[in-house]
Amino acid sequence: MSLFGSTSGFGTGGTSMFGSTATDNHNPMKDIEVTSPPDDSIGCLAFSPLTLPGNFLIAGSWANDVRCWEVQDNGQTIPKAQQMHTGPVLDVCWSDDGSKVFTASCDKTAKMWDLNSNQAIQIAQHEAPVKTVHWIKAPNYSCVMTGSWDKTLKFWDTRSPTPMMTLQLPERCYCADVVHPMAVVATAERGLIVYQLENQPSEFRRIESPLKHQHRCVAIFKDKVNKPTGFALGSIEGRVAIHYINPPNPAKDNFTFKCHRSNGTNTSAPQDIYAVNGIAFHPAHGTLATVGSDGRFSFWDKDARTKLKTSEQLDQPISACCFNHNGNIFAYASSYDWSKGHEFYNPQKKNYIFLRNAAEELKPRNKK
Amino acid sequence: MTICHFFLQGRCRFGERCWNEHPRGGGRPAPAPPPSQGTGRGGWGGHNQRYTSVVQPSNFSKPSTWGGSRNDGKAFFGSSDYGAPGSGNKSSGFSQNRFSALNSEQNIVSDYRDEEEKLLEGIIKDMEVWESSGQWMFSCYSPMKEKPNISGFPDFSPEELHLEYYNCRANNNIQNYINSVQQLINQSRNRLLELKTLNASTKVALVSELKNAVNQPLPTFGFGQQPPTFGSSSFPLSSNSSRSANNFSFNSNTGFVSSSSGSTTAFGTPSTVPDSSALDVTSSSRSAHSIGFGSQPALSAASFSFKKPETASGFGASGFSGFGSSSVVNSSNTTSFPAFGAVNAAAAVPASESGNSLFGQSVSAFGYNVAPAPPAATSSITSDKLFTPKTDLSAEDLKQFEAKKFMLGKIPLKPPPIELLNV
Repeated sequence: MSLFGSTSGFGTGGTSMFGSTATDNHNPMKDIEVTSPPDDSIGCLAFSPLTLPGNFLIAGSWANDVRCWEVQDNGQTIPKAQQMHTGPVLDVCWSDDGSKVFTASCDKTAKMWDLNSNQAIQIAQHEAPVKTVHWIKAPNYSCVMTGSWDKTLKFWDTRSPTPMMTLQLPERCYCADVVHPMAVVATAERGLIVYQLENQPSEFRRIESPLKHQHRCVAIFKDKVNKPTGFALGSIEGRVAIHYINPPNPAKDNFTFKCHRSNGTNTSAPQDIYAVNGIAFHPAHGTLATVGSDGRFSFWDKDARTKLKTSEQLDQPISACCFNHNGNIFAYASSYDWSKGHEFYNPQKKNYIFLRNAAEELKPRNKK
Repeated sequence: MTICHFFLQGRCRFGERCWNEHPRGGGRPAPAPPPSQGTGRGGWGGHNQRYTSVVQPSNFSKPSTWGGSRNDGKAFFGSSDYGAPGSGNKSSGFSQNRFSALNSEQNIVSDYRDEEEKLLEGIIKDMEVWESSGQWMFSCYSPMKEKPNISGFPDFSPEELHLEYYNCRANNNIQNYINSVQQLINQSRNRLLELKTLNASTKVALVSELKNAVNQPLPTFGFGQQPPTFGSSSFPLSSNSSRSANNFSFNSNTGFVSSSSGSTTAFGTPSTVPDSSALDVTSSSRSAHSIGFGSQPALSAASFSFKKPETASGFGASGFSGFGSSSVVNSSNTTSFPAFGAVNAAAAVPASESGNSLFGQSVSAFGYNVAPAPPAATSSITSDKLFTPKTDLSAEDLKQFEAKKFMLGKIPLKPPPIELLNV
């Protein structure tokens, strides 16, 4: 149990001192700011797995870099290392033993970064930007799965330049998640495919999307015995669908809920609807967090179907989020996600990564 | 009297108290309505009766995919969901039809029509919300769970646009980016307006599009024709029916490549030939494929606006200009459906019969609204001609078809010969 300490001590610590004006809303939740954040929008975050002692955070950004920090128990963040791609980094993930980090980039490659030697080598090649990268650890094989806008899903043995397997997707891959032995890929045009990964990856089922609009993020959740049993799918329309793979009663068990919208009352004023940029499940409690373009994060209990908490609004969208291996730390990145086009892009605006103590706030509600 | 579309799906929570119409014979496959209070009729109480009954635990036992988040009063998922389509919010139908139980005259035919109508109503509602909410513009859309995507809405993620901007910036070509995004906006916007104000021809086109691509027959509704069954997977369908805008690739070199043709049409409903009205609606959206990244006439660079100006977003200065002002200068805008490249070049007509074939391997380049349309555009290529015989193609065209990717500036305007298609 890493005691994360109070957040107040470091809330204003890491940044420059002039951030104390009343209108500064970059950190309304007074969470810990990670030092030396990337210089451009942060597209992805990943914490080290349980096998690695301590907590290490990896972030990929649109400045083509991947950075690594050590997060100490007192909340201090120490920048450790950095690697570069030749294009913006869209996804990062860790290997199961915590020794390697895989990074996927718009330069159509994915790289494997060995943290001990601080060397990165290319392990994957696509014909279009690589949007997702995941490490698969099966009893009889291990590989890296990359999903790309070239509509393919490729599986790579890191030692070979040709993929072990290539699967066709109906459309560009937009998001994916892997929890062995299940993988889910959501594509453009509302495509949704579930794969099973035992023996070798194969398509398990194509699912009719429960959402009406573009898919944006997906996260698999597990049941009480730690087996993956379904996934949460977020769209650009402020909605998340909870979908079980084999529920006893699909009409009952699967549902969608709205989130990341303004004025929650049912007034006649039109709501502002924001995209859900990321979904993450708490590793211990099974509750989930969503982050959106509205600059808020929310915690939800999908079994009790309640909202646990919504944050204050940050002055920028929250573009990525993740939990550490035991769920004590919730990291979220505040940076522009292009949700309003280029006109709202301000290269001068600072990007932040915040860390929050998540041990208490994500405890499930008792079911009514 | 609006027909309660939840009832038609068998999941109306209000049951006999519902203020929308529950047509008899409309198929009630699902769970019993929640216990009504007092009378078995449509609730004599005041308006609040509708809401007080909502907080019943049994209601939550049948969350629908669309309305499952309807706010049950308590802190269940925060924001209220009364905006769910059909739940009586349209036209404040509170005064309507609380005696639906008494009305048993609906015959089957009008049920079918009403099913369509409620679908169309749902679409209109969704379009209104989409327009006013400021949500991401470049998203596909489908009116209901099993329905295919509606044509005319190309799907682009923010990352793709973001990347495109960076690439253009690196090439000092931001103007290109701005123009192409503006095009996209216009396209989506027009399609949205079209659907919002459904006129007769759009309606017909839409209905045929939705009907034809249905893979599961609607319960008890036959629509007078056999919905084609496409086997188990629904995916080839949905990806067919909206072959959207994969041809929107900014980058000439890599492109998002091998995209299917025709920016937005729903031609690809495999087993049916779209009827003429559908053609009319969507024909103009076939994009030009010969592309110049060069001169960008006429388009105003301003106004990449997602939202109306009055409602500024929380992210700082609202530099929006309303869509109205950008009623553009799109020189192709002769039809209500601005072509993505102004030219009805029928190159690579996407009417494919087969499932997933990327028809014509078309356009890796992006159809800008280039006023100097390629000369061959005036050729009499109609949409009927799907393939060109090999002999008809120039050597250059043939070479292009045989190549892995189209080269910018050399993209053939005629459809590919059938021999070269790998299906």
